[in-house]
Amino acid sequence: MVQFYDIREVSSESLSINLENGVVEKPKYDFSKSKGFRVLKSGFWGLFFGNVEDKVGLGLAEKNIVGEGDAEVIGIKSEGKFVFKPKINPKDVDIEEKIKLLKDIENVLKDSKIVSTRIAYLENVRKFFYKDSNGSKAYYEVPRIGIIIHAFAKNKTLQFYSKRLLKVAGFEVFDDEPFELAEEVKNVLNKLVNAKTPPSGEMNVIMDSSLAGVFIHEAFGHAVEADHVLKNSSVVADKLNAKVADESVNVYDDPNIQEFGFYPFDDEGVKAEKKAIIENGILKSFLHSKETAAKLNSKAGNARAQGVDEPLVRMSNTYIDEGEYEFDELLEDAEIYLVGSRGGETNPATGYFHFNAQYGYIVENGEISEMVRDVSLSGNTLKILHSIKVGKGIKFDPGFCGKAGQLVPVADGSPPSLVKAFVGGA
Amino acid sequence: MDNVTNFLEKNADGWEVFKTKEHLKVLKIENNKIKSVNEGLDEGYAVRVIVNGKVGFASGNDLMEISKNAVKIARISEEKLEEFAFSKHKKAEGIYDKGFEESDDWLLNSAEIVLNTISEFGCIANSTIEAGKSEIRIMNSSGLDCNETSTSFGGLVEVVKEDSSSYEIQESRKMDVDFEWITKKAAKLTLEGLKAAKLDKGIYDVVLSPIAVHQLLFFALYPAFSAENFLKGRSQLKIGDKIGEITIVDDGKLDNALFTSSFDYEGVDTKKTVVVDKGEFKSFLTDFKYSKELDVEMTGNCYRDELNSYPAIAPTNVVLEFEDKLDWEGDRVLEVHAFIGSHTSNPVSGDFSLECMNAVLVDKDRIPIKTAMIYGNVYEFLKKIEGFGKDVRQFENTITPSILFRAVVVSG
Repeated sequence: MVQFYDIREVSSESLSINLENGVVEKPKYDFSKSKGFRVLKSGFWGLFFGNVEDKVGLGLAEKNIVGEGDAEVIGIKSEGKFVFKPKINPKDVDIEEKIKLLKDIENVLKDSKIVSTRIAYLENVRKFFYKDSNGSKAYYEVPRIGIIIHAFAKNKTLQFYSKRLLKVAGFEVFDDEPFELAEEVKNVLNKLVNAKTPPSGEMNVIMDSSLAGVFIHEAFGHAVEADHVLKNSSVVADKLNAKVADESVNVYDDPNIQEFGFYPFDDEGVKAEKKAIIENGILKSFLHSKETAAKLNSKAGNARAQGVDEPLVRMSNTYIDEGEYEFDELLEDAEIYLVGSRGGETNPATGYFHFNAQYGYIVENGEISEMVRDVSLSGNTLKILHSIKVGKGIKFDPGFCGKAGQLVPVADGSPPSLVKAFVGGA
Repeated sequence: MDNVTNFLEKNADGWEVFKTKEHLKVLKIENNKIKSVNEGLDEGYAVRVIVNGKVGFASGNDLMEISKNAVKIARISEEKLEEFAFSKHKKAEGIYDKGFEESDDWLLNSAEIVLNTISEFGCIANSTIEAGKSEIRIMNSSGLDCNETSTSFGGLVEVVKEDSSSYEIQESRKMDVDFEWITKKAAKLTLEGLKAAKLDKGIYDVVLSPIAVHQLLFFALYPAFSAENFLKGRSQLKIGDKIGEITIVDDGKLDNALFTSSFDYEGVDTKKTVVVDKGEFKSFLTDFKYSKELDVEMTGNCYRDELNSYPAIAPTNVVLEFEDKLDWEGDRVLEVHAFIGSHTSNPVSGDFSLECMNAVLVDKDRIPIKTAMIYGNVYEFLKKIEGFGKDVRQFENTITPSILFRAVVVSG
């Protein structure tokens, strides 16, 4: 007997334009839609995706049930509709105006050391419709928009630096910020081309908001995804309600914040809710899909998919909440200050993580001194969280998180934070 | 189709229609149990047009709609192109296995092998087993009309025990993936890792496995081979530069290989290109547009990550060669199975600092290592190559044996 089925219909409409060394290149428009079907029978999942009628799709999914398993889902019914209306719909803005924006940003980047630039504009609307065998019906439309600024400069070395502004919003998001980011890219690159390689070894490190956000996402967030827990590949699998961090540490995942990881319903139609992951240093909750919630007796709402691919347990807007340290207090104990992130990776099974900062500064006697380049940070998550000092003022950084070949938009946030970790450099 | 070509002929100076039909089946094992089978059928189009000498691109499901959008967006483009490529093709060999049509049994049999093998080790296995068929057709206004069907089969097995884990992967054009080997390899590395010790910071001779070699070079070196990156000032390399003694060949026509095809994703004949010859940088990789701009031969390296990706230059099968074949048995070396975070390498400067996964110090005994970080600059690092092993395999793009690098600084 069929225990459960669901049908997802997703359409995505996107426009992207690149300005490469001042020339409008790679203008691209995409409109695609597809359907995803899942059927659960005898504890085994059969899935199918493709553009077919509902009945056909469910039949093809059921045909893939070729065994018996122990999968189950929580029986919840969700209903709702959410249409995000931006203040300025990008579709109402002439494409020429979008190009002018890119060219104006590029003007800010002009500098003798900068040898190459790439500024990308993107806009997207995701329309999502969900229904399931419990009578759930959910629909949403969410727009995303942004620019990514890349510049390359040469002096002692060839270097690049990038900043991005990606939001759930409309064209109103482009006020002064893109130009401030471009100014920052120019100024940082000017120093970066002459920056030295960093020292290496275990040291006291201040992670800026962006890097600390990546840290909590990569090094801790993936380990609390309950599918990792159930696959025995999470370092915190047996640590629910146990102390996993200093008691000053609070970590949340909140899809309701209007940052890049925003969603009103997850890809199983469940209404989005803020979840406390760590409170006062205690591990409070894992992130769940309908299946992992049934297995671990918890709440669903964190299943996400790229397009109509299989929904997986994912993060949304994940952040370390404010602490009590002023930045100057963090500086007093620091040996190096690392800024920004070029991404990272973690092994949730062991808790070892590794990521690269965009650049950093040596800190001497509580003062920021010379810049260093190509600097990486690694360590063991739990060890670090027990001695972290969290600063004030949260900032979110947008990005795309990859898992099992699927990318979804997320945002990571944190105040600047001081940790003891391993720094390495080229 | 006639409607569309009529529209394109009337409204564009040049056009290209790229059609794909992908059929994918994925079986998942979680916690030593088969959990799900997922099947996908994906069909779509991507159209490029030239209007007044400038290129526009659109993609999606509805070809007429896409064609109209491509023409519309080309009006604001400043990307120059005079025409689309026309080329004759030599047929690629060994990229299609008709067994795909009966791959349901293959998926289940492969899963059985994984489960039987792992039961000998007392570990948890999670696995993804995939069978895929891809049909591509490319037509353009230069008279090109070509199509090709290919298959791929693969398995990823991740093995976990306590706080140790490892993974192994094998992919093939045929249904000859060795699931017993993959599972055993991942299980052995995982069990070995249970007794991991600390490594002292120091200088070690390091052996990178084919996986680790690919992860390092794909992100830190290969981007510099792109003619587009060179022309836009984003590559360190220029013709004649010296980077050690290694030979690097991009071969899109290599029999049975994972990135082999008769033609690239804009219909240009694929071929063998010597990129680096005994350390000397000889050739950039090009697509049609950048071969013209650089005034060099086409290398057939146009690639699309996904249907809606803008066509761009990418390596195909990258074959690494080196004169000295070494046997380092009995030597004191640090073996590295894979890296964590290799995508964080700097694609422009070539600087990298990577955390090792499943590293083992081979001395009198095999001593598994908890953490080890290797850092450097890829152009300098290639000069440290002492010799190649004999365990040649393809991992993603790269075809290489394990490689011994002399005197590498490693932090524990």
